[in-house]
Formats: sequence, structure tokens, C-alpha cells
Amino acid sequence: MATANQPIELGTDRSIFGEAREYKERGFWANAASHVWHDRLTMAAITVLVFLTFASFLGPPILERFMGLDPNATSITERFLPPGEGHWLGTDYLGRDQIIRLLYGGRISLGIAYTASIISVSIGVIIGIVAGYYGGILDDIIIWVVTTIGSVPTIFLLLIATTVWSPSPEVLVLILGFLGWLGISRLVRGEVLSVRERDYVIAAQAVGAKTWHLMFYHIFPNVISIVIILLALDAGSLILTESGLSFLGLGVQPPVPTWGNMLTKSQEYFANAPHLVIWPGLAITVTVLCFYLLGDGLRDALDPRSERHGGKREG
Amino acid sequence: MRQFIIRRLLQAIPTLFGITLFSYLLMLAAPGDPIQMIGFNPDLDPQAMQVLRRQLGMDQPAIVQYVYWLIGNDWVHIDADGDGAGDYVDVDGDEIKETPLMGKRQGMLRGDMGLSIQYKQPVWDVIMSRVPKTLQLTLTALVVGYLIGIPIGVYSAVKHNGVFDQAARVLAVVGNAVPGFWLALILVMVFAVNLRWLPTGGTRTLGGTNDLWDQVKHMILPVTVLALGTIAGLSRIMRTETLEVLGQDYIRTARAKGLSNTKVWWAHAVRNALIPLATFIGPALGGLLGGAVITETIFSWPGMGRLGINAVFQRDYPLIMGEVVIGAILYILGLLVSDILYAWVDPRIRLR
Repeated sequence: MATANQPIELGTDRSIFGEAREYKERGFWANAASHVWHDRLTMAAITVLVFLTFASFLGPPILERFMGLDPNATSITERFLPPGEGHWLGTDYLGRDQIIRLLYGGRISLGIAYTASIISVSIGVIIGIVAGYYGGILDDIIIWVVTTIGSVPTIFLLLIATTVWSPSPEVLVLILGFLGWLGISRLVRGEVLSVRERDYVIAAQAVGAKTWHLMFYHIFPNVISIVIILLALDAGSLILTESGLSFLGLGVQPPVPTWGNMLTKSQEYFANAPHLVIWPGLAITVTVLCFYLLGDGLRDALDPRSERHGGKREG
Repeated sequence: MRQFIIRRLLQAIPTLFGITLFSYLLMLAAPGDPIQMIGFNPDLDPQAMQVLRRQLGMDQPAIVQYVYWLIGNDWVHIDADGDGAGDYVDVDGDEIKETPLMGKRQGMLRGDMGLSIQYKQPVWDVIMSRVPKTLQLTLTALVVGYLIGIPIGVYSAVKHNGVFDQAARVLAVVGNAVPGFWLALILVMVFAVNLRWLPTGGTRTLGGTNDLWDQVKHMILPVTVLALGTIAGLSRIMRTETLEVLGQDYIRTARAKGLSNTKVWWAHAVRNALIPLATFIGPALGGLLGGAVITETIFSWPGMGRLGINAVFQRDYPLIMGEVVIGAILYILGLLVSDILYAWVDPRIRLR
């Protein structure tokens, strides 16, 4: 991570690698952005995510207005309609239109993924920096807490937590966010431990830099890359977790649709409505896939070491 | 080595205390209690429920309940009628020969996990009755995952950037992204409901003969769902590791000696690429008993996962704690095993 914020110096062998010319005289971030821009798979993932996000947040009002759809309007005569005219993806067991519910579900699922990943990564980074920077007893205590909570089977923690605070989407965000920072803090702590001993940090300390200044200006920039990669990967895993919980009936409660709870009852109507099983799951898979691809792409772009180590990381 | 193991086990003690205390307090914070859950029984009037709570110690503050769970309550004089004084049991109806009503639990530290409130049996017995079924499922899935995942990863690395490699990498990423429960639903829909090739769930056909093929048929779908994640993860790791090993000097030496490709790959490359797997087998072993909650639920598989989720729904406190403790111990042991394995397969590593 020493390369953060420093221009990449290219050696004299620039002529050997023709494409290296492209990267010349650029800073770390411009370089990374260019890397991502030329990485087709990552750009495709970004495009799909942007499309899904816009569709979920802007789509419902448009559909409601022009197609007269309502996510909660039930109709006995229109149950289990196959995809077709008027209901592009068919209707569910209460005669509710599926596409508008998928879009509203996307709002919740994506919203939870974005906010909860920001919360858990922020907590993880702050705790990781504090533990790594101060070391000593504070570090021991933090590591103990992390291993302790980490040793409880996650699914039980989530099960119990979701029954304690029977979740609205907002509460679910908090639960997922506050239970998700453990691994992240461990990664960040490891990184900070190695950065803390670098000469320039010691030099800054020697000239009397204050602790918060050291943390924010000298240590934090070194973990930004990890943070960005983790945000993407974490958002993907959070969508999986949230949909699993909602599927079990423990996450967001109906009638509010999410991709997970739209599948809850689907086991009962395999025979008459396979479209109700396929679409919500496809939405989850595509979204998670895109987040993972984005994470991998960002790792290639931001972490120069990953090329050699193939992305192998602790945790 | 022995010192290392002893120290790690000692370190696990405060962790286990932390886990149990944290889970206990969180669990008690959930609305409702087991008595309320069985309280739909019309024969139970609210007063009887209150007496039952006092007998089970649920009228006490959370921390006291935790202490009871930990060290038992056979030293506690129980006040079941709530008049502020400890009660007495009549022995053969004679009022003089009364004996104090004491708690009956021995506590976790004395090896007593308590009585499951749902099943009215010792928690240990309830859990042990489910362990074989869970192992049958998760262990098979683990073995299948390793047997398929490792060769895929190695072959990908050998045929680096070929068609197989590309396909395997796509499979690995997609396999990680597919939610297990949805995959399970789709498999059931296709193979059980539409094609009618395989059963939708359970462990064997009811009323059928207990033949092996019938049991295998019931395992195919859940094992597929559970193994896919392992295959996806392992093939990816093995690919990276093998690629890294193939670039090493001793591989070049082996080739220079004139060894055949097959011999170079299987005798030199794969053996060394397998080393990092030691770190993955530990957590996998730890997860064997608890990692299948959703799959077990979908396939109505009578294992630990489904037992656990029902325990949470029913607020069966002793049973929840039993599952948490066993899960946590296995997790900690799993990590320890993987550290030991790691040192064993790679002599360069010293355990401190």
C-alpha cells in the first residue's frame, strides 16, 4: 500500500512494455480508474449495478403512473398469472404484480446492502485502526471481543438478533451493520500494524504530529484501497444474508417486499407459478455476482500485490 | 507442540465465557419466553405459568439466570408461589417432615446443559439424537466438495487460460453468488416437482424399505446445494495456489530432470499446492454441525440446523445455549486443528 497517493515511477524499460506508456505520469487513483475503465468485466458489473439501482429507485413511480400498477393491490381473479401483457413478469399468489414488487424489493435489498456495508466497513475501519495503532491492552481487548463474537455461529446470532428486534428495514440495516464489522476490523488492523512502523510515520511522530493527525493523514490513506474493495464484497454478502433471513421469515416482514421474502412461500406453488421462483432469485444472483465482480476488479486495480498473490488474503 | 495446544485451549476459556454470556443476554432480550410459547395450552392459567417461570428460574434477573445456567441452581431455595420465602415439598403429606424445594440443575460447568423445554429431555440427548443426520449430510457435502473442487482447480491451473479454465472461473464466481436457498428451490422445482426423479425432502421414503439407494436419493439435492459453495471456493484457491507453485524453481528443476508432465503436476505441484488447504479444513470442520440451517429447513432434514432454528422460534433457552456452546467449541477446535495441520504439512512453520 506504500504506493497510495504517490505517482508511479516507471523504470527505463518503458519501451519494452508498450502499454506502460499509457500509465505514465499518473497518480495512484487516476491509474486505478484507468485500470477499471479498461477492465470490461468490471465495467459491465458497474453498468448492471447502476442500472438496477436506478431501476429500483426511479422505476416504481414510472410504472405506477403509466401502467397503473400497485405493489400491494391484490386481486383474486388475477392470481398466478404467467408473464404477459399488463403484468410483464406475472402475478403472485395474491394477484399482485411481480415486476413492481421486484423493483420495490430492489429498493429495500440494495438500500440495505449499501447502507449496512457502509456502517460495517466504517466501524471495522475505525476499530481496526484504533486496535492496530494503539496496540497493547486495548488491542488485546478488541481482538478478544472480535474472536469471541466471531466464534458464535453467525446464523444463530442473526436469528436471535432478528427475533429480539423484529426488524423493519432500518433496524435490519443496523443489525447487519453492527454484526458485520468483525472480519473487516481484523484485516484493517493487520494492515495498520505494518504501516505503523514505517519510517514516515515515525518521522511524523518525531516532529510532533498529533495522534488523530497521524491516524487520519498517514495511516488511513493506506487502508483506503482495502476499504473500497471490502465495501463492494461486503455489499454482495449482505444481500445474500439479508435475502436468506427474509426468506426464513426473519428479515423484512411482508407486505413490504424484498427479494428474499418474495421467495418465502414460493415452495407452495412450484407447480402453478414457476415464474415466482425464478425472478427474485435471479435478481439476487445477478446483483451479488456484480458486487463480487466489482470487488475483484477493484482489487486488481487498487492492490498491486494481488496480481502476484492472486487475491489470496487472510480472513 | 503440546505446549502450543495447551496454551490455545487455555486461551479458549475466556472466549467461551464471553460467547455464552453474550448469547445468553441477547437471547433473554428477545420478546416472549418458552412458557409463553407453550402457553397456548388452555389448561395453563396465567398463575400456573407464573409458577412454572419461578420454578425454572425465569423470574430472576438475566445475569442470575446466566449464573444458574453456568453453575446450576441446586443450591437455590426456590420460591414457586412467589410469597418471598422459599417453598417446601411435602414428603408423604406430613407437614413436619418438609424438605426445602431446591433447584435441580447442575449447570454447564458440571456438564449439565439442562432440560430442553420443548422436548422435555436433556439438551445433550436431544442434540446427540440429531448429530448423525447432520454429519451424514454435511460430511458427505464436504467430501464431495473437496473431491470435485480440488481437481477442477488443479486442472484449471494446468490448462491456464484455456476453455476449461475460463468455464471453471465463471462457475466459481457464480457459485459464490447464488443464494443457497434459491438454488435449493430451483433444484427441487426441476428435479423433484417437474421431473419427479428425486424426492422433495426428508431422509427416506416413509413406509418404504430402508435401502441405501433410497437414502442416497434423498441426499442428492441437499448435498449438491451444500457442496457447490465448497467447490466454488476450493477450485478458486487451488487454481491460484497451483499457479503459484508451478512458477517455482523446483518445478523447473523437475522438468529439467526430464520428468513427465503428469509426474511434475501430481507429484510436485499438487502436493505443495495442497498445503494452504490446511487453513480451510478447520473452519469447514467447525461448520459441519451448524452450517446447514437453511438447507436443512428447505429439505426438511432433521438435523442440528433445523433443531437450532426451531429452538430460537420456541425460545427454548437451554437448547439454544446448547447449540451455541457446541457450535462455538467446534469452531475453536476447528481453528486449532487447522493450525496444527498447517504446521504438520509445512515443516517450515513453527508453532509458538
